Amino acid sequence: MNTSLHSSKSLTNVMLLVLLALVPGTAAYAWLISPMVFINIIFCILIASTTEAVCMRLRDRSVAVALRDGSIVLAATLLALAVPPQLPFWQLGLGAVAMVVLGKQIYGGLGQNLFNPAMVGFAFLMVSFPQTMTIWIDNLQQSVSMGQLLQAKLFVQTNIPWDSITQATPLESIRLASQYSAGQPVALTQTALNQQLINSPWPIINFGFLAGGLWLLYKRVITWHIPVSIITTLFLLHGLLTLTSSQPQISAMFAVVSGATMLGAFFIATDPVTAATSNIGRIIYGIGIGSLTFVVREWGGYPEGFAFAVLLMNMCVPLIDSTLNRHA
Amino acid sequence: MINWRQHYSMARHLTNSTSTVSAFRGGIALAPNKQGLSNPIKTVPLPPELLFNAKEPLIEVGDIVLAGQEIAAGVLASWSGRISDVQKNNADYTIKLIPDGTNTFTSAITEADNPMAAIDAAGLAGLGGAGFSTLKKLLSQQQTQLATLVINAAECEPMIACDEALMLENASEVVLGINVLTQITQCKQCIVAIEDTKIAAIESIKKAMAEYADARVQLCIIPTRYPGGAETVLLRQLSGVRITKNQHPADHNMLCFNVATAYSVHHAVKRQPLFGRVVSVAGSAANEPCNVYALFGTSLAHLLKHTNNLPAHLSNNKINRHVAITLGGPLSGTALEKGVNDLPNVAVNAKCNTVIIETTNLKATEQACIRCGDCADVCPESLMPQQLLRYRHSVDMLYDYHLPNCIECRCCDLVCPSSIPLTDYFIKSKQTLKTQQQIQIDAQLAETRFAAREKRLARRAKEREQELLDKKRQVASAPAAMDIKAALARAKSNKPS
Repeated sequence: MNTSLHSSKSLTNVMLLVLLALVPGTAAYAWLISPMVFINIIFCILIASTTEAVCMRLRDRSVAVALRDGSIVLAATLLALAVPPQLPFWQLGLGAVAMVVLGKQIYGGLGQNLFNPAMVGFAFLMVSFPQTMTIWIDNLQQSVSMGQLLQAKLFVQTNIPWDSITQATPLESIRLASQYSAGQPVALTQTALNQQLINSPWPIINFGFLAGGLWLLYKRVITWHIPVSIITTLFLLHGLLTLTSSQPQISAMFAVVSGATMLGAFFIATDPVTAATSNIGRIIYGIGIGSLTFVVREWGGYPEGFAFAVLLMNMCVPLIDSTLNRHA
Repeated sequence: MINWRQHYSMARHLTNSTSTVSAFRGGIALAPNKQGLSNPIKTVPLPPELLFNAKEPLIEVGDIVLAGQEIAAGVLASWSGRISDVQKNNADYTIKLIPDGTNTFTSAITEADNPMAAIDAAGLAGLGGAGFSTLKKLLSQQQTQLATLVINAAECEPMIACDEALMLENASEVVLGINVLTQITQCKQCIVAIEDTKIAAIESIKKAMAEYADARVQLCIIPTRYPGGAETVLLRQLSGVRITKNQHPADHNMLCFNVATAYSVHHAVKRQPLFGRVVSVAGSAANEPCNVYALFGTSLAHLLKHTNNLPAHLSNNKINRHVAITLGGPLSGTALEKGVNDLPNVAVNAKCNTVIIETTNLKATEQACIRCGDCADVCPESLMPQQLLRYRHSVDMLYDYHLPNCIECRCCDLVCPSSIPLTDYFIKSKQTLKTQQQIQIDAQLAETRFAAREKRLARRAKEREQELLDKKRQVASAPAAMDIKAALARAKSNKPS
């Protein structure tokens, strides 16, 4: 076949575009939460690439081919963005190794894995180190210097009063925080809750990821089916809860711009390897992720349900695909 | 049940002499890149030797043959002359013919008294690329009146320009050929489908149609989109009917002929069959891209030499590794194995619509499939190449994902970000399916054979048993048994006490 007719789209291009699209959200994250995220990303890429190289060597495959496609850089970046910034380096490193080995290489490398590698790494960390994985520093409440943070991450004893500067992960903490006024418990009101949400850094970060995601849509790297179905499902379910509940609830509008929603909907769930492959399948897959995320957020033991929703839906993908076989 | 989409589209064709259809699902808008159309169709001098590749030769060295004489199963001599050589290589034979100066036709051609006989005598084969026998196609549709005759003038693949050149130059003969086909098939309507970017060819055909075409012939402008001219895709665009792998257009009361075939039909019916075709010479390494009329059996070396397209190094007998020769379009064609060195051994036949000369470029390394689904978006047959690739080792899954419907257009290859040669995998998979089917047929045969044998053996055993039983009974009832008893009694009585 004549190679000159081939489209210019290549695997490496795709991965680069996705990485570029992550820039606005990541910048907002670094600015509003902690610049430590950059160090985490670099560290995570280093560990993941090394692990990938070792695995490829052990499997007697070309290391260069595996590293050149950029998929591992992207997965490492996503993992680093998903974990709390002050997570100790050794834990983050373990997560990266688990991501590459358990999430990707044991299935036979790129394209063969059933589960989203970044989410495998995240889930591994979540169940192994629940304590460090569920606290987030919050620059808005008290600033912590990068030096202090670095020391903490290396597990050097520091004088950081963790309790006062950390909170449970975004959504949960907001709800908790809005029940206290000057240290005194108060009745939770809808206005207090909304105020808390507006003051939190998450909406801005989510808008950053949303911008990147829309650009990916424009560039035709991803299709609209998965992000739109996830966001719509979350919006509708949260809306339903707000309407039917007597308690003040996170409004539907805020639900879609808080936590990992945008990062997950546009960058994590759209990983084509582990998502459903037909358009209708993608919509079902997205609705599944949206609903499971809502369920874990509202009633589950973990504060952020996105990772588990993605992993659970990954398991359903072969079923979705074979059921929806186009001509059948 | 009435197919309404078909109904409406046909009604539209009947009321307008020119109609258009909207783009089909999938496919890619490729740059047409038709070359050499600014010059008239060239001809090359009669080659000193004609080459034919065939399976079963029917002649011997030294035989004198006439033009149109069958020299091997399904192969007609394209010129009269003497057979100079019959060589066997592997399963195929290469027949060489030295043409004489007269070009005498067989009596079947000169004495043909009706169009079908003339088409039969000229041994017409489709010139669109598949090379299916025109006569067989016409015979497949004899019982009922044909609803739609489609003349495929789309020529959707880039670089192939032979049909367009033919329509620019010989539109009237093309239209006359179409008339013959409409008469033979007795069709209710005839649609000539042509891509909207072939503006000059559309004008030329319109003019000829206004002058010669019978009232049933309509022109339909289709969007320029690859592979819009592939038979199944074209018929779907025109009628909305999906033709699956096990069906022929005739099953939907349609027939489809290439426009160049119509041109050949015209000449055959005039008892002047062509035994040749227009070939496009194109590609970035071609000196003078052109369209050239070549007799079947003309070697590519001769063709390229006389059109001034022979890659420079061949004349010095040096191996040229930097030039690749593709027979057929850039997507549907096959590259010559030994590149330039194969040129003297490969000849023009009915299927050979294009010769592409390109400098070889490095193939991109194949990477892993990430199931992005770009291939499914461009597949004109709505298949899911990503799934067909993933399940290529499972015969059942290949059927589930409708592999046999693949038309091998290579759209999926073009968009794959991992540069996977998907179609090559599918061709291999199709072979597997075929073998598997054969195995199943063989197994079934063996099973029936085995069952019959078992039955036979059982019957024989029973018969033997019966025989034995009969014998025993016979023995028991025979007088000999009495004798033994008597003898025993005698012996007892004779015993000394």
